[in-house]
Amino acid sequence: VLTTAVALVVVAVLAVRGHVQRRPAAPSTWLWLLAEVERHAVTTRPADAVVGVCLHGPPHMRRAARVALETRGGVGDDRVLGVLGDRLATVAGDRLCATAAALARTGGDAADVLAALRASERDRTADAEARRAAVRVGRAGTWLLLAPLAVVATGAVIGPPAHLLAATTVAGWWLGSAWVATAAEPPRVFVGAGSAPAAAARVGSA
Amino acid sequence: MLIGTGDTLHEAVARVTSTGRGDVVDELRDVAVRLERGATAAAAFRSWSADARCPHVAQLTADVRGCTSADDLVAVLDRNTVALLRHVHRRHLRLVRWRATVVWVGALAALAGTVAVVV
Repeated sequence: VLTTAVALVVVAVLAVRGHVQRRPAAPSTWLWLLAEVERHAVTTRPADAVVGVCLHGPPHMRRAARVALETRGGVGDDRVLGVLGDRLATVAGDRLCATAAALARTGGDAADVLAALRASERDRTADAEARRAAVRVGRAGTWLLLAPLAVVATGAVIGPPAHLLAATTVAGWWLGSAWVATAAEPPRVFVGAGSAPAAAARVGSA
Repeated sequence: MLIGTGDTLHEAVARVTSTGRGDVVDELRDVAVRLERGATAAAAFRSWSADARCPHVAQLTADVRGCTSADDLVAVLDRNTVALLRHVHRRHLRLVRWRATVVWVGALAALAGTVAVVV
């Protein structure tokens, strides 16, 4: 009983730790942010829109926006958005800040480009959902790896062999979880905002 | 994105190579150097394709070389972007599913062993 209890405590601690580390930024937050920036950027400068909307967003966005604003004195929009992108530290944040920086630099058409960015973000959210579903199947399997603990719990194996079996089971579960979790990491692919015909029409010959 | 917001191809390549990092950016840096030395965009991208020996780069550079206007270029980059994202997504899903299958096989074997011992 003691061996099973110790094994389950170890599993619980590792599972909670892993869950906290894996906690992703909610995709809906990014879609909300993009929609808000798109709405504000039509009437204001894209850089101001991004920083302003972040200031009214969830805590991690507010913190990032405040740090970006502190760097504002004497530096351009590019630098402010660079700092904001670094602080947000996600692919969606990178893409939004880089888009706003490009719009601030060139005066491109904010509405079209941001709408395209929002559409591609929606596709990414759908992809991430499919990936999470596949990962959930793997994670469910890793919990079955703890099945041999039942042998220890029922007392079918006692003494040092029980300790060894429990330790092996927990180690197998931990390794299996880590293996699946490694595959769950989304590939970091930076891809642009997509087509923006109105803005592209102003570009010179390629 | 850069071209869509008003940069020319040369400016976009220069910007990506000055701010980005990674293997592709290193390869694009060679393209930027060739463009600075006065090579045409077609020649610079052909050299990248020859050096990289990657089917996706070959496809991208062939499409870019065929562009005659900025509109074309944006559309080509957009198409390649979508295709590349789909490819990466499918490959990643395959990896996740394979690992999930291996874990399930191991888990079921462990479960069968447990049942055998208990019975």
